[in-house]
Amino acid sequence: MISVDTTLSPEPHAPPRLGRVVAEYWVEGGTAIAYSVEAGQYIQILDVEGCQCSDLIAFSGKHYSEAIDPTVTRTLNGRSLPKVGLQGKYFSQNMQPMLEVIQDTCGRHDSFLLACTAKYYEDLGYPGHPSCSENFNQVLQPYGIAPRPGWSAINFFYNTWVDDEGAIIGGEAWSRPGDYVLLRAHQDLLCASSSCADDIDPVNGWNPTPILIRIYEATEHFPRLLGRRIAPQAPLQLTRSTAFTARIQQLTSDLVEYNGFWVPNSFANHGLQDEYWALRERAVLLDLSALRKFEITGTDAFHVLQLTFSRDISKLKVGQSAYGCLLNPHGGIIDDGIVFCLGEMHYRYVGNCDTDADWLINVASQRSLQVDVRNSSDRLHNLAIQGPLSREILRALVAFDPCFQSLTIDTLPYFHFATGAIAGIPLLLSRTGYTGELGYELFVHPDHGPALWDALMTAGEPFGLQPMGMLALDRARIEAGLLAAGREFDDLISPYQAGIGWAVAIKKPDFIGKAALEKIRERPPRVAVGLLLDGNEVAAHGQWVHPVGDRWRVGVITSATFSPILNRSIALAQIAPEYADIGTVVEVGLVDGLKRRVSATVGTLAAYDPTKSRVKA
Amino acid sequence: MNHNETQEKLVLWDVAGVDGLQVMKRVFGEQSDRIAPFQSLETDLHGLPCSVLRLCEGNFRICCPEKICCPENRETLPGALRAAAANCRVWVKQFPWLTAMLLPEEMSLAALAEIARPKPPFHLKALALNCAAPARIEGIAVLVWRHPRQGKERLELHLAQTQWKRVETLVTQHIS
Repeated sequence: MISVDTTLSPEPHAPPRLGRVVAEYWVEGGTAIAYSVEAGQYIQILDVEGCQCSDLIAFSGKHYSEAIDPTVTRTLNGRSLPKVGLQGKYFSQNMQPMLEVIQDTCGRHDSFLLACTAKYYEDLGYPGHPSCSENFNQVLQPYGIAPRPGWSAINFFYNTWVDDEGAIIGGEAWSRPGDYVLLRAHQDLLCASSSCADDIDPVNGWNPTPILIRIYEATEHFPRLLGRRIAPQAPLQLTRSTAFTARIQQLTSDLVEYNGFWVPNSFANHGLQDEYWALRERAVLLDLSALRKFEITGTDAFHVLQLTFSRDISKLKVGQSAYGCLLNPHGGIIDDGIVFCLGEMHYRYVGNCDTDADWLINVASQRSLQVDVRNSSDRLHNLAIQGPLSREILRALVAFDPCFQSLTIDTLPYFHFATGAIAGIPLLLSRTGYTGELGYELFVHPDHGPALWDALMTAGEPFGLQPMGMLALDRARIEAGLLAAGREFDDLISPYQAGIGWAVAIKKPDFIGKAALEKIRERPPRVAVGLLLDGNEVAAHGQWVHPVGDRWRVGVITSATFSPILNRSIALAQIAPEYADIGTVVEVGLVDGLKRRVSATVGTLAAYDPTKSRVKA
Repeated sequence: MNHNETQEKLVLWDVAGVDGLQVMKRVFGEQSDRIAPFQSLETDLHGLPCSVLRLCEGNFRICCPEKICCPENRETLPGALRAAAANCRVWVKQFPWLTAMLLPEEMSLAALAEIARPKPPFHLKALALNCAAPARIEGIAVLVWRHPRQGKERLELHLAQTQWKRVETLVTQHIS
């Protein structure tokens, strides 16, 4: 018989409660329980000891006739598994939302397979082995729910994936002690949760352990959060809001998690093309606070960056910045970013990864360099105002600090910055961007974020300034030939392959990766190019590039889009140097790579404004 | 809301495919790519008004008075669309199962929002002019479109022909 403990005092080793608990159930290892929740209440499914799967089924309606349906859920979300946010609901077979994932600290679950069945164990030589499906049958019997040999369930913490051959692979759960999912009930539900009984393979680490179920009051309000781990020993990070999120949420509900922050995809009543044209013709405001900022200070700050950053820092004066990348010893790109020279012993690196600081500290330690590296991301959030009218908007707003009095917004050169204020708000204004347009980035303390947003939107209104989301940004950056991590580069790809060989100061006497890059530079395995495709079909990341009429591959598409301003299908690709000359005609394999090939012509990496005349205007 | 009595009958033409945008540019000009999915523009074809709604990257819907499609009109909308679509990977269709319902002026956006539930992330109360949103009225799928009609801001629903009477009843009940 299944024991249900509804005492409200938590076990000593239970993780802290998130709010006011109305019921709490311990599901012993290899068992299951049934419990009711009311619409609006929250269910927290906690993997107390880690590496333990917990299957969930839920019913609603008269006689529990409506059940959660993983296939409907996958179909309506367009995802293999719901994800916190717009695609976060679990649906019934009648397409009604039953549960919504509000928080998820693990991110790896299964929605393809049945809860484990007696047959699974029988076929492997364990007749009579307990199973989640049999456990569900037992606990649902009192509710008049007919038994099934296998229950279609949501299998939390069950680590499965579909490989390239279509096989569903299972492995040890990713969940760590205390990992949980928090679900909100959209209807009154009867639920059943298991602690998976599987002890014959790695899915539960060969040892089923308890699952803790907590039901929270419907009056609670829990923010939507995803957990991410950036390094083996690093603490779990939950999705954060930026200084501008509150303003953005007044303008759109289409937010997605990006690099640990909630960012807008697009804005209500606008959308990709509308926001794109605002950028190209007027001006837009972008929240780029997900960038990471690091203060590198100390007597050896310069030396650390000379060793780790691809550009020659000695050429930077105070008020100047340079785009480049952090390199690993084999010449791969750890991260790309911008170094700001704030003083002889004070530089700021703005990149994408929290782990950048670890790398800089590690290098400094290995070389006994005196440097302090601090993550200032929480103290510096940033907006970008980009577009041909961005300067005009800022002209009346910006007052530079006395040390930058020789500059005005009109004379501030490209890749220079100044400190100053807008509407009395202290900030750092940098003439940089990621759009291929004239533009500026404004770094501000989060406390001043909403005020800065308001000041800019108000001042920009007569100029047609509008906010822009990530969808339009991606289209703009592909047109401008600007790189995205995970698309154009990773730590196995050199700057020469990624298309930023110009950002490697190879003549620097010493820097990490130099020896490898000197060899790679002679003939990179591939080089980055822009492609202009015939026809209007848009290619996709990962599609192959072939020589005309030949079967073998010469490269791969890294990013692709339709360029509204060029009225062309364009792509960024990395191809063998022999095919990289401008004007070379190649073919892109669409669909399965065989069914249809589209002719494409090699061009500059930036299809739009390749001379960068607009950003330098 | 009757098709024929109180208003000029509206017809819907759909264009979809890889070359959908290019076809629309040929017929209605560059402005066709100035709008994002679920945004629309007001234009004309040979002096007769057309409303163009973008549904995705290459899919568009044109709403126009029936007379723009009449055979006696030498330059009809379907004719223009088909000519522009020649040798393109698109189809041009008039769905027999789809219809447009122009809501009475008494039906404000706020009133509609009381009975129609939009699909997230859309919000009906804040739906701007020349914008549309998929929604459901008592479970019936509709596309809510706010755009000018004969110089006035109006709300238009696109819905399955089979649901016309039911939706008409629900709307009438709500405003009465």
